[in-house]
Order: sequence, then C-alpha cells, then structure tokens
Amino acid sequence: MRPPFAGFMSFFRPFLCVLLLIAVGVEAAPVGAATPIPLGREWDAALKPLATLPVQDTGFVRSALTYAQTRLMAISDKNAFEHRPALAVILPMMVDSEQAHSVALIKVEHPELGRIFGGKAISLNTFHKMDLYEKMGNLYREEESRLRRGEGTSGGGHNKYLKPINQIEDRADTIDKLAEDFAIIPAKDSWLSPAQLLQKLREGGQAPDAVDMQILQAWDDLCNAIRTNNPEAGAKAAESLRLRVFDAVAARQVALPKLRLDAFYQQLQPFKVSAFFYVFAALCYGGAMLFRQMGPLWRRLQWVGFAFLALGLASGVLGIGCRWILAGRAPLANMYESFTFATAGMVLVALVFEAIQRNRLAGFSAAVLGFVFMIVAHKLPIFDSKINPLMPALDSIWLNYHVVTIMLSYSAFALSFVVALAYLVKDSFGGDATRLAPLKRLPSLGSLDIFNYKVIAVGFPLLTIGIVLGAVWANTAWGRPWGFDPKETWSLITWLVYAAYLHVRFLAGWKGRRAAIIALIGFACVLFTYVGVNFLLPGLHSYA
Amino acid sequence: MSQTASPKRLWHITPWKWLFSLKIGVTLLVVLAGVSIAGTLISPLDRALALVYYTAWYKSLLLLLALTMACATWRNLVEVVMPAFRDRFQKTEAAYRKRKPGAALRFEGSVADVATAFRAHGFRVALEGEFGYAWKGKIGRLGAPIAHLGLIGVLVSGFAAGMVAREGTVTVLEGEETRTLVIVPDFLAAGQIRDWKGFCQAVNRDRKDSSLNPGKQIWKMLGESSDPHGEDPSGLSHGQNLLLSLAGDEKVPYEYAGELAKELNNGVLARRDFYTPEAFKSVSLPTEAEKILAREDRTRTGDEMLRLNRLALEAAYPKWIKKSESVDLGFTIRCDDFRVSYHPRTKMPSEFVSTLSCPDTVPPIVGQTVEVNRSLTINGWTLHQTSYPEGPGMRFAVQVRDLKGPVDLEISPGQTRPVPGLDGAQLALEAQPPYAWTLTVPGQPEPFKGTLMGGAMGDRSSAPTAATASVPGAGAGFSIRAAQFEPDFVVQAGRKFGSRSQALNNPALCVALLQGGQEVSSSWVFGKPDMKDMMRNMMHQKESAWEFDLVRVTGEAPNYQMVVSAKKTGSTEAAREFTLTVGQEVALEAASPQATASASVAPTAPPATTASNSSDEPKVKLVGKVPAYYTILTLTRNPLIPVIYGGSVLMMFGLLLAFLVKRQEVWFWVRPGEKASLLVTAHYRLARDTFDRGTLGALRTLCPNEKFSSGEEAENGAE
Repeated sequence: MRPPFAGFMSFFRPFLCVLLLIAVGVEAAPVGAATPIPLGREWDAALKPLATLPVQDTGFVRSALTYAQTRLMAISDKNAFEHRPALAVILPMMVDSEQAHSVALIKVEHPELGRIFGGKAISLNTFHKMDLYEKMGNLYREEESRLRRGEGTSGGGHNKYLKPINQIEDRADTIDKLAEDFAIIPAKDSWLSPAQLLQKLREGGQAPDAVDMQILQAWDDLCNAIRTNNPEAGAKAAESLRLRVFDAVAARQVALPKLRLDAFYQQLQPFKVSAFFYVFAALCYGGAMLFRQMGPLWRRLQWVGFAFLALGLASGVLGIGCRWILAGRAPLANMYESFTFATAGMVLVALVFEAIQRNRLAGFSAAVLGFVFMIVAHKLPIFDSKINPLMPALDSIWLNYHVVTIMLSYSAFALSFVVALAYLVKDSFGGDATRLAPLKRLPSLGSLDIFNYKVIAVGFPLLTIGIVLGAVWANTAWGRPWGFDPKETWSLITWLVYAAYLHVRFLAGWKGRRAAIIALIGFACVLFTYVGVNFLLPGLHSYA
Repeated sequence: MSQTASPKRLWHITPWKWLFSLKIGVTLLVVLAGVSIAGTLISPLDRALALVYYTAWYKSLLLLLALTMACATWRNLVEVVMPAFRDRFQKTEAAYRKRKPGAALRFEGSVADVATAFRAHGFRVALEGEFGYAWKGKIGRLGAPIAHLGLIGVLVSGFAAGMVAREGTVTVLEGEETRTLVIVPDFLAAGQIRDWKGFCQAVNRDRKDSSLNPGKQIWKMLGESSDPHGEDPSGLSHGQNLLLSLAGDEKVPYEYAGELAKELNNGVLARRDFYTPEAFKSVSLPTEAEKILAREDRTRTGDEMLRLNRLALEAAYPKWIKKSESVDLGFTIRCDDFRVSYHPRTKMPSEFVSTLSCPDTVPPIVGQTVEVNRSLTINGWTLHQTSYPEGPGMRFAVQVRDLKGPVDLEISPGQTRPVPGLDGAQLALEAQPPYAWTLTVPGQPEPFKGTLMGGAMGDRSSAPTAATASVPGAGAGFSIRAAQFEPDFVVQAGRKFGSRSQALNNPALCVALLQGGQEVSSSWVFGKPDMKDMMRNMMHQKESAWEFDLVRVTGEAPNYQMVVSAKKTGSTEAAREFTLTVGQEVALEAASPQATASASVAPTAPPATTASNSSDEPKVKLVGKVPAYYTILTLTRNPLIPVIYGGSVLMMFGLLLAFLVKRQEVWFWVRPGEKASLLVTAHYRLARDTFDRGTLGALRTLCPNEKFSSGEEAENGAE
C-alpha cells in the first residue's frame, strides 16, 4: 500500500536534501573563524538591502532595521555599539551564538549589581558565571531576610533587587532569543524565524515548502558570509534573502506595511529631532527677550525661534504621521504616544497664539516645555517608544476622539502653567516695575493674566468634551458612563479646579495672582491625572 | 441694564439667598474636589465607592451643586441675559461713568455717524434717539446658562440613573445557556461585607459560645483550611488569624478583608458540610434555602450547595452581609461560540468575541456577536464582553464541508449551534460518543446525519486514540511528567540548565504539566529551602492550575526517584505526593466523564472520519480539540442614558458658545449741544477693563484726535 503523502514527499525530496545539508551546515559551522561583532564598515553595502527586510515582531511586520534597533535598545539601552548601527551588531549576534555570549552589551543599571559583575556593560558569559550569579542571589536573599526582620531599605515592602535582577534577566533573554525571534518567513498569520522553521522541520511538525527552503538557503548563505567575514558574499546573500522573502510575501499574499517608511522613521527618530529644534527655538526666543534692546537683529531672533518651533512641530507631526501609518491606528495607545501627541498639540496651540496675537511668551514656553517633554519621553523608563499592538479595550474609534481632545486640553493647560508661573515670578519681583532685566522683557502682568485666561478658555471646553467622549466610550465598552475609576475621578477633580478658576474670575473678579495660583493648582492636577494616577492609583486606565 | 428698580426676587430673600450665592457654588466645587481626592486614596475601588462615591452625603453634595447651579442660572438669566436682549440701551450717565471700559469723548457728529462707524467694523447697531447699542456675537451670552442647564441635566439624570439602572453579570460556558443575571454573586467579595470589623467580632463572639452556632462552624472550617503562610506558633490557621486581626482594635490593612473573603469562599462557602441543621438551628432560613434543603443531599449540585451556604451565612449575619442576588433575565442567552485571537508572535489578545443566540426572544436572535467595544442590545439589556476564564472540558474544532465551501467552527458535545455563513443551518452534536451529528439545512427535506468519529457510517479503524492512553485517568485530566532532573542544579552558558555533579547538592526537577496528553506548562521545583524561596521570586513562573513542590529525592545516582507534591492552585485540599523517575508520567486526577470522552480525541490526530451516505452530501470533519471557555458578559440597563447624553451635548454646546463666540457689546450716547460728547461703554467675553480692537477701530474713525490705549493691543503686541 502506498504510504500517505508519498507523492508529496517525492516532490519535495530534493528540498529535503537541501534542508538536511543546511541543518548539517548550520551544525558544522567553521570552527575558529571569529564572527566580527559588530560588522565593520565594509559590510555597509551588504546591510543596505537588509534594512527593509520584513520581520514580524510583537504583532506587526517591521523592517529588520527596526527589529535590530529595538533589540539593541532592549539589551544595551543604546542605538549603536562601537559607532556601528544596530543591524551590524544584532545580525552577527544571531548568527554566532557563542560570540554573542562574549560581547559586553548587557547594561547593568543598578550600582551594586554593577559591582558584582564588574561593570555597567557585561556579557552574557559574565552574567552566567555561577559565582557571580550566586552573589547576585545572595544580595537578593540578604535583602529578603532584612525585610523579614523589618530592617530592609526597600520601599513598599518589595525587595529592591527584584526589579533590577529581572531587568538583567530580560536583557539576557533578549540576546538568547535574537535568532528565534527573527521571523522573516512570511505566513498569513504567524511568521517563523529560520531557527523555528528548522526546528519544526526537524521535528516533522511542518512539511517542507519550496519557498521556505529558498529563504532558508539564502539565510544560510548570509550566515556563512558573516561567519567568514566575507562582505561580498554577504551582499549577494542579503540581496538574495530579501528577494526570496518578498517572493514569499507575494506568493502567500501577505500584506506588508510601508517598510521604507518604517526604516526611515527608525533612522530619523523625528521626535528626537524635534527636541533639537525646540531647544534651538528656546534659545532664540530667550535671546530675543533678553537682548532685544540691543538692536533689531536681536528682535528678529524671535522669528528665527518661531521658525525653529515650527520645524520642531513639523518633525513631531512627521513622527506622529509615521507611527499612525505604521501602526494602522492613531498613535495614542500608550504614555509615549500620548506624550508626543500632547507636545505637538501644545506647540501648535502656542504657534497659533503667537501667529494671531504675536505673543512671544507662548512660543518661548512651548519651546522650553517641548524640549523638556521630549527628553522625559525618551529618557524615563516608563515610556515605551516601541509601536505596540492595541489591546482589545483600546481598539475603538473613541480612542481617537477621546484622547485627542484630552491631549489638546492638556497642551493648553501646560501653556497656562508656564504663563501663570511667569506671572507669579514677575509679580514677586516687583511686578511691571521690576528692575530685573529678564523679567522686564516679559509681557505686562495684565497681559499675562489675560493670556492665561485665554489659554484656559481653550483648554476647559476641550477637557469637558474629552471627558464626555470618554464617558460615552466607557458606556460602550463597560456599560457605564462613569465608574469613579481613579483616572476618571482625577479628571473630574481637574475639571472642578478649572471650573472654579473660571467662576471666581468671572463672578468674583479674581484675577492676577490668585488666578495664577489656581492655574498652577489646576496644572498640578493635570499632571497627576495624566502621569501620577497610572503609577500610584491603579485602575482601568493604567495603560493610558 | 434696566434702569427701573428691580422687583424683589427669591435671591433677595434671606432664607434663600445662600442658594444663589457664588461663594456656596465655588465652595461646593472645592469641597467636591477635596472629597474626590480623598476617595481616590482609598483602595480598592469598591471600598472607595462604598465609603465615598456611592454614599448619600456625596450624592447630596452633587445634588446641592446641581441646585445651586440651577438657582445661579435662573438669577443669571433674569438679571443679566434677558435684560441684555430686552433693554438694549444704556440711558443713565452713571452707566457710562462707572463701568469699565468707559470713555467720554468730544464728538460733534450725529448718532447716525456713530452707527455707521460701528457698522463699518462689523457690528450690528440699534438706535433709539441719542442712544445706540452695537454688538457682535451676543448669542455667546446664552453659553453659560446653556452649559449649566446641561450639567444640571447630567447630574440629576446621573443621580436618578443610580436608582433605576440595573447591572449584573452573566457567565455561560461555550455551548451552554443561561437565564440568570447575577447582581451580587454568591462568592464573597471584600465589598460585600458592610462592616468587616463588626462581622468578625460577631463571629468571634459566637465561636466562644458553648453551643454549636454559625460562628463556631465558620471558625472550625477556617481552622481546617490550608495555611499558605506556614505553621503559626499559636496553632491558628491563616484564616483564623485574619479574622482575629480584623476583629481586633488595631488598624489592619484593608487587604486583610480581601484575603479573609478568599478564605471564607474556599474554606467555608465551597464546602458541602458548612451548613448543618445543628449549627443553624437558631437561624431562620429563606424559602430558597428551604427548597434546596428539601432535596436529597446527594442530588444537590456544587452550585446549589454554594447557594445554600451563602443563604445560611446571610441569614446568620444579616446585619453585615449584603444579600446575594440573581434574577431571571426573561430570556435565554446561549453562547454558541467564544473566540480569542492574539496578535501574531505575542500573548496579547487582539480580540475576544462571543457568538450568542437567544432562542426565546421575539424574533429569536441567532449568531450575534459581542466583543469589547462592540456591545449588543437585547430586550433593553445591553451586553458587554467582559472576560473569558478557561472552563472545564474541551470542544471539538470541526469543518463543515460541501455546502458553500468549508466552514470552520467549534462545537461542544451536546450542543446545537448555527453554522456561520450558512443562513439557518444548524449543527447538532450528541453529548456522548460516538458523537453523532445532525446538520439541518433550510430547503433540504431531511437533515444530514453522521458521526464525528466511529459510529455506523464512520471508519472506526482510523478513529484517533488518546495520546496518553497508557496513563490511568489522563486524557483531558491533568497529569505530570518528570521532564528533567538535575541533582546539582546550575545555570550554564547559553542559559541552559545542567548539573555540576551527580551529588544531591542542589536537586531541581522540571515538572511538565499535561492536560489531555498535551503539555500545558512546565516549571522547575527545587529541593533546597533557600532555593525554593529564591526561585519563587526570581523565576518567571507562569500561572498554572497546579502547584508543585519537590519534597525529597531518594535512590542512588543516576536512578533517582523524586517525590513531588501537587495540589490545585487555590485549593484547600492537602497536597498529594507522587513518586516519579525522569520521563515518567502520572495522573493527577481522575478525568470527568466528559473529559474521558474528549480524551479519546487526540489533539494532533489526523483528521477523523466523516460520515455521510454519499460524497455530494455535506460532511463534518473533526479538525482538533480546543479548550472550552466561559464567557463573562456584563449586562446593563439604564433608560436614562439618552438624557445623560442630551445633557452632555447641551453642556458642550453651551461651553463652545460661551468661550468660542467672541462677544462684543458697546453702548453709546451721543449728547448734542454746547458740550457735545460721545459716551461709550462696553462689555466683552473676556470681561476686560479696556476697549478691544474692534471698538477702538470705530472710535478712532469717529474721534481721530483722541488718544486711546488698548489693553488688547498692548498684550497682543507684548512689547
């Protein structure tokens, strides 16, 4: 009796042979030929076609460049290593696991752990040294014992070493899974990495496929070229791999995102670029305010600042646009995205105010805040700049309406905060008759007061609309418009504070200093609602 | 702006004055903000709701705010808005002299000249003799009253909704149906005890009594429940300690209440022997409990016993325990299917969807889907997808072929469900092997029939067999396998686990948990106590249905025998011990009848048989086996939602009117004669003290020699 799948097997026999050769080839890699990590500049031509190679990673298809950068960031918290781009670092690490274990890439942030492992950047081999590993364990256990005796220095009763140890473990894990996660073999749903496909084929869990085999062959060629440090062969293999993967994409009718845009976004880092523009804008505005008496040239510096601010906004909008296209949704799903959006919104509000009312203070405030916000967004570990897929709760059109209006209102309140601060500082140092030169350059107290009111008059209706839209969304998703979740309650508190500002200003004539103080309190509430609640008061909005 | 003496209104009368006072309104805003802040500091949320947001005093504050807003709006309409539309001219000199901004200008022209100048600057103008009124965007005056009315509507309807709205949950296993809406579940949550201290004190008092009573029974069962915190020197269990802590005078964290609720659920309510006639002889039980008791003990299901225990507990301590409540929905909800899909290469769900049918609604609902953010409304109830815990048993993944193409679906034994994409087609599967199926297709005189596996028409020889048939009680039941043992555990290069020697210095065992023959999870367990502690915290252990521990290792190298203790996560039963050698597999529990049935289908088995009389007829092909899920739906009914939305829209419209419409109103009086002059005063949205740019433009045209200073120009120029 003819065994099942006999015809199928005979058709694929040649491929199976290739597979076996590959498998053997992978096992029998030349011993002693050290893989260079990172790859040298002679590899630049070979790496070029790989930059836009599609890789499926955490729910999205991304360029290999993005894959390499996110992995290098996850391991070392840096975009480059020894002045070489991420792809030149990550690629050889995937190919030569033993070599990868010896590269000191893992960032150790905690000083005591750094002392144990002997540096702030360690290799996987160092991390796995049993005596050091045990020392790390002892550190943890000793703190645990201290905590039990009530002598520990950890806050909140949690072992202070747990988080940094987990962090290093995660970084080590990332290195271990570099090859396994490099999913370049297209499929309708879940792509496979060459390592996974080989594993499946060996286990017999997957039937060999001609298209897959070609990709495996090209990948193997590339691996060999990297192992033998042969850039010419690497360039050919890279181009071949790229073509094979795109052939598979076409054959399997897999939809691809705009990979060039993805690589462009990763290389340009538009939000970081905007931070540079903002700092230049702040310097120009500052110069114009301080030295305008020295001549018209200095006064014109204000317009240079305006131009830099506009460029910063353009760069921010470019970043938002790229993320929107790449994610296929509005980039408002996490703190990083909402923060960058709010910054762009704030700069836009400031530019509009400045263009209409020629109010320098708006531009200056936005430039300073924009720079600070961008630094915060890229430096604080709570902000994740990766493009992540949406959780079902956020997969709604209401996300766009609700978050956009709320973020725009926060933008306006951020401006109001700076203006109120300027008012209080100027008022404290003699008001309009101040002798301090920098304060003299600020608008009059009356103008600051009116400007502050105007900004709040824009922010308050936006906040109200945002809260109402959020209530409609909550009713759609959870069946109740209001549930006193901490985020909801704090948005109500913020609303009440600004409502009080408007009422006492209009009806009781509270202007100037008192109004400025309420505006400061209001912004403190905004900050707590936006950031503080997420970390201190867990609830349904913890992702926001 | 009326010049006549205004009549005495309610806000002039002493007892009511305060209601119209701004001070009261603003004070209320501040107080509300303050208590709301205090509320957010209380954790968890249900406690904050009980102590602050759902209390009568908090609601009273909100209603008082609504009342003061209503009064202020009334006063504003009568005193400010209506006169602005009615009495349009300022006819007293005082009105021009006292108000800011104001000006008295030398002017020899006519009132018509002034009107022309203002019209040229975009104003609308009304004249009456020597008096004039120019305005732009006067509609903005209505903004504040409209916004306030909207907010009043939201507050009042929100308050009323608290009384009329209903909310509950429906939990239904795939393939099953229910009519029960649970308002307050039988299992205790921390928020269901009104006063934990009072409750614990009452139980503590009762347990000291010599006669048998509910408190004594609770105490006894808490003592028998497991103690996750190790042996206590006092001999008390964790639950008993919690009870005493909560009953004591010292302040204890609220988390204790949550923990005790769990202990009461697992150690008391879930037990079959909590209710005894002797212990509850002094308690008057409700009729529902009497009905359950009227039936024979052995015929009562676990759910019924839980219900009985809960009713008995409520009857014993009515002052402290909220009544559990379930109501009949009035229609049946059947969960035909539940599907959860994940973002590729992640563990993050991309969507989870329930497919529901309601056979007894008019018209019947068939195959409607509910997912997060996409609710479904049936008979006035809105269904929201909330959660999806894994349920008992498995479902068959099948493919219906030869209709309009292959259709994939999942079906539980005993279920009848619509076939997606085929209008009116229904597939029914029998509850027991050999799983006969019946496919009813509209337009076909006879239903198609066959068996999913085995059966008269099927090919028995190719029917898949259980993958773990050699293991007694395996199949869909749980079993464990000693996957890897390292006597002297060490992490080697490449994060591989190995052994430094064959001596039992640091024994570690990798235990693979299997369900239905398939590996569900694996975890390392350690022999050394310090390693147990360390690895418990450091290893990323997956949540598992079972907890394991390496009790001891016997035998000689390399033929070690490992004694592993296993118990169900959260179970109060004592852990059972199993002796294993590397590679050996043992069953943890006997499989349920249903599980045994499904165990006969291997998940990776080749496609099973289809049964049909002819090749043209539809066939149902077995593809594999998937876990069955419960779907948890939140059902809400709030008839006041449209009113709340209406109020919100009104509020937003009012705010936009108030803040975005640039309102400018200018009054003027052209006085002829020897000292010809033009008196002007104005009122703007920003309540500024100086004339705005539009007014100044008109005035500069009329009085070119006058010097005006504009605050707006100064602030805009900001020089």
